[in-house]
Amino acid sequence: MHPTTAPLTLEELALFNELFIARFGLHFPDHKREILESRLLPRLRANHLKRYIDYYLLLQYDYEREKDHLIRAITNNESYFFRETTQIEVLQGDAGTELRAGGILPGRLRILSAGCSSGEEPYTLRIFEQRSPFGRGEPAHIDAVDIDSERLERARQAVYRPSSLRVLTPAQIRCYFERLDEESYALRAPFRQGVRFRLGNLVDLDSLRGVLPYDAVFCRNVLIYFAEPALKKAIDNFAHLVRPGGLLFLGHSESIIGLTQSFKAERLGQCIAYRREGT
Amino acid sequence: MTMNGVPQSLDTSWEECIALLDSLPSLSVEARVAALEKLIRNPSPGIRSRALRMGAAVLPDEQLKSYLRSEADDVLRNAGVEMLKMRGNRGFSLALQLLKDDDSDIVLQAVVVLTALRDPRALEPLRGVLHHQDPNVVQEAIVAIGQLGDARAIPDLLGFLEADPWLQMAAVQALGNLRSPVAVPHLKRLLTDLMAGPLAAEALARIGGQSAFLALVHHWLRFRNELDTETVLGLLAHVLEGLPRAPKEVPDFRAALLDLLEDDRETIRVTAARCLLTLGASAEDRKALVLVADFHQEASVLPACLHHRSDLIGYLIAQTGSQRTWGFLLAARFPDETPIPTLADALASTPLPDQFGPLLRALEKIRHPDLAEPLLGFYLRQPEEQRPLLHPLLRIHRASLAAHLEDAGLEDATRVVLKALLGVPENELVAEITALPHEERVRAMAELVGQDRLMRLLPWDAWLREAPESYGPVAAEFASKVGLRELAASFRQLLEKRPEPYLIRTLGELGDRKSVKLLIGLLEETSSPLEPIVIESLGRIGGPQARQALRGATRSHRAQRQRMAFRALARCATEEDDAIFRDAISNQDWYIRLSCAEVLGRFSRPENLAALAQLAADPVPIVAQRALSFLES
Repeated sequence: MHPTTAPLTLEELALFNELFIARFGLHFPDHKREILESRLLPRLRANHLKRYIDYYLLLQYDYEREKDHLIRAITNNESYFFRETTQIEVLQGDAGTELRAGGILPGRLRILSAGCSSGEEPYTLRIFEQRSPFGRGEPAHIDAVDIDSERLERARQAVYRPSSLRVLTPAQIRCYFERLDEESYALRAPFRQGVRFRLGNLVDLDSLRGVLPYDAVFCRNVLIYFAEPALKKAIDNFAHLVRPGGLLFLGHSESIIGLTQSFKAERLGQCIAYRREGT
Repeated sequence: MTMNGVPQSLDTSWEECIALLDSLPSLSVEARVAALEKLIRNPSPGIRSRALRMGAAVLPDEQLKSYLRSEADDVLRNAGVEMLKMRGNRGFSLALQLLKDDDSDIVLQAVVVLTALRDPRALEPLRGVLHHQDPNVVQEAIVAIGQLGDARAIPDLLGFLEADPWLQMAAVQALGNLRSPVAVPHLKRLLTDLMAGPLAAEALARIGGQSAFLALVHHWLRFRNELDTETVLGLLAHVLEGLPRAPKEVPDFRAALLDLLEDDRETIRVTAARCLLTLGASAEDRKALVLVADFHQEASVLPACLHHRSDLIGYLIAQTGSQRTWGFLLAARFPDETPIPTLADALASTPLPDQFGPLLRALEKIRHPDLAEPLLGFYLRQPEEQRPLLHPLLRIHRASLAAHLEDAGLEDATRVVLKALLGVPENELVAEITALPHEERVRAMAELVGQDRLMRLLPWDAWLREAPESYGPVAAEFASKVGLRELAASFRQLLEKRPEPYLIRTLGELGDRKSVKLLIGLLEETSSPLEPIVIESLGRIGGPQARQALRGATRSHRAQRQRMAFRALARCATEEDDAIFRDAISNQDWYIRLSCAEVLGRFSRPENLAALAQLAADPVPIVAQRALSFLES
C-alpha cells in the first residue's frame, strides 16, 4: 500500500466486483481484497488517484481508455509450457483418434485454447502434436483467445522468459527454443505454425465463436476466478463452441459437475474431461 | 384471502413475498409476526433467509421462546433457533436462560445457539450442562465447549473418552478444538481405535506441536499400509508446518517421504514435498520446490513449508516465477541471512508485477552498502508512476546512495528528485528546480508530490498561468494531498475553460464551495461522461446548494446517475434529507440501499430505526451488515 492511498474498502470491492462480473466474469472474493488492492494500485498511481472509489469513477467516464490496463491488472497471466500435460497426452491416444473421426473437418482436429494468456498452452499443444500427432491426419487447427490484447501480442511474438520454461528439461529447451539472451527464448518456427490468436472474452459468445465448432476446448485455471453467474455463462458459451461428442478440458481444481446439462464428466486415462452431450 | 394484510395462500409468488417483506415495517406487530411465519415457509431460500434475518432483528424474546417450544411445528422451532443465532450477542442472555429449562429439547437448542455464538462467558454454564440427564444435550455441550477454545475445560472432557461412542467422538473433536498438548497422550491412545482413531488423528493435527507430531508420525510409520496415505500425510504436513522449528530426525520418515515423491497421485507427491521441505535441507529440495510451486496457484503467499528455510533464500531468489517471489518473501523474514550479491543481481532484472511488492518488503529490511548502486539502477529503470513506491527505500539507503548523486549519467531532473529524497535542504533545491527546462521540471514535479515542504515553496500560481496543461495535474495532486486551498481559484479558472476530471476531483477534495455552481452547470449538461465524478465531488463539498442538486439527481431516471447521487448525498446529508433515504430502502439497487443504511444509521429517529431493521434483513450481506452494525450500536 502506498502511504497516500486509502485501503480498498468492502464497499469498493463490491462495486468493482459488480463491474468485473458484468464485463469479464471475474470476481474477487473478500479474502482476495488485498490482492485486488495491490493489482489496482499501479493504476491508481498512474492516474494520480488517492482512493479506489476514484478509480471506479474513472472507469465510469473513461472505460475505453483504461480497459486494457484494467484487464492486465486483474487477470492472472501466470502460465508456462507443459503445464498439466496429462490432458494433452490424452489427445495423442484413442481420444484424439475418436475426435478426429467424428470431427467437422475430415481428418483434421479443431482445438480452442480459451484464456490462452501469452500463448504457452496453445504452443504446448502444437509441440505435443509435432512430437506425436493427435491421431492420424492433418495437423490440428489451433485457435487461441484471450481478453488481453497486449498478452496476445506477446503470444504472437512467441518470445518467453525462463519462468515460462520452468518445467522443461535443458534438452527440451534446446529443442523447441532459440536462446536470444539470458532472459529470453524464442519458440522455433515449426512450433508456431498453425496457431492463430485473437481477442475474446469468455462471457461474450460473439467474441469467441469461430466459423465452425471445435472438437476440443482447453480452458484451464481460468474459471476458478469466475463468479457463479459468469461461470454458468462461460459454460453455456462452451456448449455452443464444442461440437456434440467433443471434449472440454478444465484445470485440475475446476469442476462443472452439477452446473450444466450440456457436458458430462468422463474419465480419460489419468484425467477428467467433459464430453459435450447430444448428437 | 388475507389476514391482517398478510396473504394466506402458501403458494404466494416471489414478487408478492418481496412486496410483503418490504411492507413489514408498516404492518402492526401481529401482522408482522404472521407475515414472517408465512415467509419462513417459502420454498425460496432467499426469501426464507431474509425473513429469518428480519425476524432476528425485530421479534421480541417471548416470540422466539414460543417458537422454540413449537413441538408440533418443526419449521417454527428451527426458525427460532436460527433467529437466535442471527441475533449474535443480543441472543446470548436468552440462550443462557434457556439452559435451565425443564424441557431437554429446549436446553439442546440453547446449547446449539451457544455453540454458534462462541461467547467465552458461556463456558461455566455449559460445564454445568455436561451432567445433564439427556445424552444428546451432553454431546452438544461437549462440542460447544470445544468451540470456546478454553483449555481449562480439558479435565471435564477427558472422562468422556471412556464413555459411549457418540460422547467419545464428541469429546475427541472438542479436545482437538481446544488445541492443548495436555490432551495429546489421551488422544494418542485412541489412534488405533476403529471408530475414534481417524477423529483422534485429526484432533491431534489440530492441536499440533512436537508431541502431536511424534504421535502421528509413529502411528503412520507403524500402520502405513493400513491407513489412508492421503489423509494422514496431509495431517502430518499440517502439523509439521506449524512447528516452530524442524523436528528431530525420526527414523524411516524421510525415506518414506522420498518414496512418495514418485507417487502416481499429485496431491500425495506435493504433500510429501511439503513435509520434506519442512524437515530441513536435503538433496531433494529442488525437486520438492518444483512440485510445490506447480501446485500453488498464489505465489504472493509464502508456503508454510518454507517458513523456516532461510537456507533457501539465495537459491530461490536466483530462480524465476513463484520460487523467486518466495525467495523475496523469505528474505524479508530473514534479512540477516540473505546473500547480498544474489539480491543485488535480482535488482538487475525486472521482477514480474506480483514480485514487486515482495521485493520491496525484502529491501525495506535489508540495509547494505552493496545494494545502493543496484537499487539506484533498479529505480531508474522503473516507469515514472512506479518510482514513488521506491522512495521509502531510497530514504532507507540514503547514506550509501549519497555517493552516487553526482554520477555523470544522471539526468538533471532525476538528480533533483534524488537530492530531495535524500534530504538536501528545500531552499537549496527551489533554485535548481526553477532552472530546469520546462519538460524536465514537470517530470520532476510528478515525483516530488510527496515532498510537502519543498512543494509549498514553488511558484505554482505563476506556473499555472504559464502552462496550465502541464502543471495543472501535478498542482492538483499536491493541493488535494495537503489541502492547499490557495490554489482553488486557479483550478476554478481552469475548469471554466476546460472541464478536466482531475480539476473536478480536486475541487471536491478541497471542499471548495465556490465551485458548486460550476459543477452544477456541468451536471446539467445531458449525459456528460463526467457526470459520476461531478456528482461525487458535489457530495464531498456538501452544503445546501450541492445537496439540493444531489436531491434532484436522486430522482433521475438514469440508474447510474441515481445511484451515484444517492451515494454522494449520503456523504453530506443532514436530517432534512433522511426521508429520501427512508423512501429508498426497497430500491432494487443494493448500492442505493447501502447509502440508505449509512444515512439512517447516522440519524437515529424511531422511523429510521424501523427502516434500518428492514435493511438488516437485506439479501446483500454488506447492506445487512452495515444496518446491523448501526442497530447494535
